Amino acid sequence: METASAATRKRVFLSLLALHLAGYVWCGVTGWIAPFDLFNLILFAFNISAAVMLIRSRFDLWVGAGVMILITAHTFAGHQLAPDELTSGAILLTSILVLYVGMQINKYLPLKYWWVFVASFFALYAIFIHGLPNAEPLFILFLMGMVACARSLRLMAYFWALTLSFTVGQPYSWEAVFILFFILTALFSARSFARSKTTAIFLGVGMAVVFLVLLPIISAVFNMDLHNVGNVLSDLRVREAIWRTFYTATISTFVLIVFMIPFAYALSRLRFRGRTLILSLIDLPIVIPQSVAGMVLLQIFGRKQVLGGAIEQYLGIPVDGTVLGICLAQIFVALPFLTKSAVTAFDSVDEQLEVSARILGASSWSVFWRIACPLAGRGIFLGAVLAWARAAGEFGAVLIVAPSPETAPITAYNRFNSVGVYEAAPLVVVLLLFSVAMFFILQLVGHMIHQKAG
Amino acid sequence: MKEQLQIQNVSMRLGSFELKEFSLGLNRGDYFVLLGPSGCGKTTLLRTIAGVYQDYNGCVCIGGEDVNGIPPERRRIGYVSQSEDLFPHLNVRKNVAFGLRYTGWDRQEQEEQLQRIIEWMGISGLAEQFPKTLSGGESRRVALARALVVKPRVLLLDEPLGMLDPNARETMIDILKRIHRQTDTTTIHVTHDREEAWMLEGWCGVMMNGQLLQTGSVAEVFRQPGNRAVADFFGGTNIFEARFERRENGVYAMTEFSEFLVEQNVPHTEGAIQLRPETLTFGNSARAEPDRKTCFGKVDAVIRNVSDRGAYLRFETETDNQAELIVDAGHEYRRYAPGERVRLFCRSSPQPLTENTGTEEKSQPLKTG
Repeated sequence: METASAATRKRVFLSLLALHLAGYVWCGVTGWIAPFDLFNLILFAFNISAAVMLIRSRFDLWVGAGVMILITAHTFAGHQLAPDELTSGAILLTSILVLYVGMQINKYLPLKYWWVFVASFFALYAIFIHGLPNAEPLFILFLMGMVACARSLRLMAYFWALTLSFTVGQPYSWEAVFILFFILTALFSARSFARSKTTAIFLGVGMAVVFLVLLPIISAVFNMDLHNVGNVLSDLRVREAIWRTFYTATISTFVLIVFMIPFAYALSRLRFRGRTLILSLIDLPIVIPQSVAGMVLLQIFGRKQVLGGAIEQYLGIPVDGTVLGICLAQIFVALPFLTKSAVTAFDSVDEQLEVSARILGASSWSVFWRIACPLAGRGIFLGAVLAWARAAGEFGAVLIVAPSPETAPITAYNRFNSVGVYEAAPLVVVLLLFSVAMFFILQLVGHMIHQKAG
Repeated sequence: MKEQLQIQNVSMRLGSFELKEFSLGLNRGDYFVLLGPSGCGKTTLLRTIAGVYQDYNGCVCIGGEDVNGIPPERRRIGYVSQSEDLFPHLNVRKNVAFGLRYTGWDRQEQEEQLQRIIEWMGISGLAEQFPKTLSGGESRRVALARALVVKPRVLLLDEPLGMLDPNARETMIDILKRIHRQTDTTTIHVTHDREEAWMLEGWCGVMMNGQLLQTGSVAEVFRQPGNRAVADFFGGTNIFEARFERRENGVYAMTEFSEFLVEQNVPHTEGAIQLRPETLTFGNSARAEPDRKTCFGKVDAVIRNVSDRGAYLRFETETDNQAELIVDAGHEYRRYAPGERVRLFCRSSPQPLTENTGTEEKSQPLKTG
């Protein structure tokens, strides 16, 4: 842009000043503003000094003109925007800053930045001036934030995530910030071979749905009260229930590992009649409702039944209403997870490796231990984690087979039944923390296995 | 039976691969290159020897012992498969050492053998690496080391030079030769590449459709293929159907366009001959009858195309009844141009070929018009 001559500058800025004066007189006469109000006089003096400085300096003509128009306009409209003169002055200064940054963006960055900037400005105006009462100081604050973020669209995205969370997202502001920042970070760091808008959109939308589903858990963790957690943990009944859940799930998983991993290896390596049927039957516990599963188990292993009676006679303890029953119910519901994962894991181990190992002298037992198991290790471990989690979280079947001694899910249910959802909240948080902690520990171990096998 | 490896009349079928009455005997220290096109049953043969496939008819003997029913881990065979099959969860040292613990040697002996093999193969620098970080040539060497470390009675190599770049091939061939000199292990080297057979200078056999068609030195098999399939496999050009006729001065092969004197004794009357391109010359000499010393046959033809192959010129010619003949000649023949009419002479005896019985689907249409 060619620099305007000194004469042009003088003409432009003086006529803007004349415009201010004319408008001031006219508004004063009609009574729209108070003509002898100190603030209005200061604004006029401010504009005069601005005009003088702008004429003498080589400052950009358009920005200068914009500043002067802003001051002029503010003289007439300022008292409508702000409750007091201090706020009004602050809005004016912020507006000048916004104008300056807007001009710079228009000059140095692609057009879309400018549009985002302008749209953001009006959106903020709509939210804070029109949407919220007495939010002018907040408007100024967020405007400054926006100006600071304006040179990068990513920063703008984070800025808006923050703004929306704390305005529209009430009362789940912190949860919303956490979720939105997570999604944005994922989106901005997503890489693929070819840039694909489709997959990016799928990712964003999918994550939004996942987090909506997880919102109760996130919310519970955010609003956790450590004092209450301590109180709950001091309850012997709760401590016992958690410990019982831990060891029954571990025993069940261990039993499944011992019997189902070799079985899965056989299913993966052998082709026989009925193989497909067996593979489908394994999935049966997934489709059976948990309570139904519990009743079915009770019909066979109950202390009045033949098999249940025999077990009670030989082991000395009955199945229903004991830890044995809890484990049985857990094994029943967790079986498909471990077995299916293990079959898939063994399927993915190249059989040629085993053939090579055999030719090198390894027996078939050795091949299972030294080749198949290490290579399928990660898949098996993940299956075991799933099975453990399924066993620990099992409610319906356990409730029917062994309502006492209590496991953690049953304790929570009993508490809910007796005192209601609000009183049960601390216990819920404790159980949630327990599950989430176990989950992260197991994931970490799984990741380490992966690194080693890598 | 003195032989280290004796295969007698082995027949088996596995999907589309099969062995038909396959027989082969190898002495201790033999290096046998088994040539054959893809899908001819080479890998099936190796796996049968290794004991992976047990359902076969016939007899496989290793070191004079019939191994029928003996599982692969008790056969003491070294096997390097096409895909190497290195164990991805073990590093190179552990991969190589894998078979040692099953040998029954004491700890120190195992350690010494491991060190020796790792040094021989030049993989000491890779010992701590994992297979997925190795290059093609490196993983091939590791796989070979792993197979050799247990001192196998027979070493089976399935395309050990396949998918390697030329430099890695050279290195690998040197290693194979050196290893064979040092260990004297009976080896079967399976390949579909004729070049490899030449470079390995070993004893070679050609296998097709589950049968061993011919064995001998590489030069023998290449220069005197026994039948059409072998000739085709060795880049057969100028193969023509022929009828053999005994006359007072020798056996003549009658093709559709001319007759040729054949030096070898031919037991059959129907078959084919191959006129090797480098044994043909041309000119305008008008010798009347084929003479046993210098000329084994002649035919008039027109040059259709000439291409420079570097060391020689390749002339594509066509006889009066549309048979196409390829002639490889020296650069002194440069003056002959396409369109020119010449008389071709056969300077050495054409190779009589029998029609192979086992290669119905492989045999190419006859090159006669």
